[in-house]
Amino acid sequence: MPIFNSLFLAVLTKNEDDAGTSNIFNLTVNVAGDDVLDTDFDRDVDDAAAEVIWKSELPAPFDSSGLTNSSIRLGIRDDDAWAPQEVLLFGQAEPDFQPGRMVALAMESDLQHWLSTDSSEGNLTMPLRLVSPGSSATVIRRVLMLVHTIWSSTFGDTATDSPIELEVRAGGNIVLKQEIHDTAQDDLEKGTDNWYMLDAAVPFTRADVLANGGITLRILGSDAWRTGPMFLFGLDTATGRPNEVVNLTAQPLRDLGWMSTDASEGAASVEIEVATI
Amino acid sequence: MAIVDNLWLAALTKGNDDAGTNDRFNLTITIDGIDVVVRDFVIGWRMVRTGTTQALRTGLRDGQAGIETSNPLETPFESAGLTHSSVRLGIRGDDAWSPEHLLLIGRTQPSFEPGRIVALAMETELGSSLSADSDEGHLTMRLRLVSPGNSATVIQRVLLLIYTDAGDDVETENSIQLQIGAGTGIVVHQTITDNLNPFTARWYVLDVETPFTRADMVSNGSIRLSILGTDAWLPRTVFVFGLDTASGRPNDVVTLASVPEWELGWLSTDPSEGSASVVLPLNV
Repeated sequence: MPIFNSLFLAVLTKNEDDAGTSNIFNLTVNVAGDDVLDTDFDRDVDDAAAEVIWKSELPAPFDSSGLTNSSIRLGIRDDDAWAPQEVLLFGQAEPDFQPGRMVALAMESDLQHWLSTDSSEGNLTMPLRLVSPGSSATVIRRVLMLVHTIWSSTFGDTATDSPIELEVRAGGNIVLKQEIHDTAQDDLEKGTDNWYMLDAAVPFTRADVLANGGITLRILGSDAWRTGPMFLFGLDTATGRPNEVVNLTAQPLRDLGWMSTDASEGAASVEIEVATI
Repeated sequence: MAIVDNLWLAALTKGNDDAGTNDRFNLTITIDGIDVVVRDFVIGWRMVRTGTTQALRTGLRDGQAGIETSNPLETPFESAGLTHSSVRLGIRGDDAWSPEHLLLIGRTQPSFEPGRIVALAMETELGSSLSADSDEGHLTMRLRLVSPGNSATVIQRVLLLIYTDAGDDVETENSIQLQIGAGTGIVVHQTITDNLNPFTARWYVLDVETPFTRADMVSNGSIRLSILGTDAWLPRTVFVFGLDTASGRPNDVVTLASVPEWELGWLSTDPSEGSASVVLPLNV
C-alpha cells in the first residue's frame, strides 16, 4: 500500500461573511490508535477563497493501508472561526512514487460545521472520511480543478482577467468543456489558489481519455496569465461527496508557462499530460 | 455489543509545575467517519478566594483529578463500531494541560437497570501536553479502547475514582479505607489519607495483595468503603475498576462497583451522623 511522504491540504472556504480565518489548521492521522501524523498547516484563508497547502516533507511518512474513515481529523488552533465548504487531502506516495502521481486520501463536501477553539463558534475538529483513488475504469462525472497562479517578483503581473477553459476529450468525443470566469473566488489572481468544480457533459473514464482523447487548458483572452501547479481530479458522483477521486494529471507540479491569446505573450492553450496510474 | 447512553470523563493531571489548565476539553467519538459524540467537558473545578468571598471556577490544578458526566446523550451510540481511532480528546485554549491518566467510562443499555458501567478507553502515563498553541502541545490526543474484561479477568490493580460534590459540610478530612474480599481472603486493604474536598475528584490506583477475578468476588466477596473518623463525608460518585496489568496501560478494565449517584448515605464513625462503612453494590 502507498507510503505517503508529502501531503496537500486543499480547502474552499464558504462564501459567507467572516467565514475565513487566520488561524493554524491541525491535521491528525491515526492508525489503530497510533497518531502517525500530527502536523499543522499555516495559511490565512479568506471568505470564499481556496488554498492548497503543501506539506512537502512529513515528519514521518505513513502507510495508508491501516487508515479507516475515523483516522483523519482536521482541527483549528485558535478562535478565529473558519467555515469550510470543501476539503480534500491528497499526497504523493511511495513505493510506486512518481513525481506527478497524486493520490486522494480523504474528502468532505458541502460542510455544515464551523471550526473554532471557541465552543460557541464551532467544533474543535472534524473528521475527513477516506476516498478511494479509483482507477482508470472509474466513471467520472465531475472534474475538480485546483489551479495556482504564480506569485513572483520576477514575472510581474501573472494574474489575468481573461476567462480560461478546460476541455476533456474521451473516446473521440468532447466530454467536458467549461469556461471559467467570475466566480465568488478571487479568480486567477497573482499568488492565489482556485477551486473549480466542473461538470462533465458525458461521464467518462481516465482510460477513455488515455485511449483516444486528451485534456486541454485554454485562455480565452489576451490578458496574459502565468499558472503553476494545476491538479485535476475526476469525481465519481454528480453531486455531493465523492467515493472515488481519480488523479488525472501526470505532472501537476509543472510550470505551465505564460498563457495568452496574444501569441507574443504566451500560448493560447496547453495540453495536459494525462496520468496513467 | 451495547448502546452507550451516558459518559463520564475522568482525568488525573500531572503533578509538575503548570501542568494544570483553565481551559475546557473537547471529546469526539467517531464511528466510521461520523461524529457520534462531540461534547465539551470541564472535568475539574477550583475554589478561588477573592477577599472574603469564594467563587467556583473551572479548571484542573497541578496534580488534580477530575471527573464529569456528559449527562444522558441526546443520541446514544452503538459501541460495536468503535475502533482505536474513534476517541479523541482536545483542548479549547492555549493554557497547556499535561494529563497523567485519562479514562472514558460509558453507561450501556439495554441492561440499563440499575445501569451497567463500562470503561471504554484509557491512556496512562502520558508524555505529551494538550494546547491550542502549537508550541506548547498537541491540539488533540487519542484515547485507545480498553476491553471491559469479564468475570475471569485476573485483576492486578484497582482504580478507585471518587468525586465529592458541593453541599453542606459534605467534605471530610478523615482517612478512608477500601477493602475488597474475594474468594477466601482480603485482596485489597488500603487506607487512603487525603482531604476529600467539595467539587474535587480523586484518582487512586491501589495495588492488590493477591490477584483476583470478579468471579471470586461474586462467589464470596465484597467491596467495603469505610471512613476512619467522625468528620462525616458524603461522596457524590464512586467507581471501582479492576485493571489487568500490574503497571502501565491496562488492556482490560473490569467494572467492580459503580455508584454514579451516591444514595448510600453519609459515612462517619459517629453513628448519629452516618455509617462507619458501606458495602458497595457489585457489578455483576
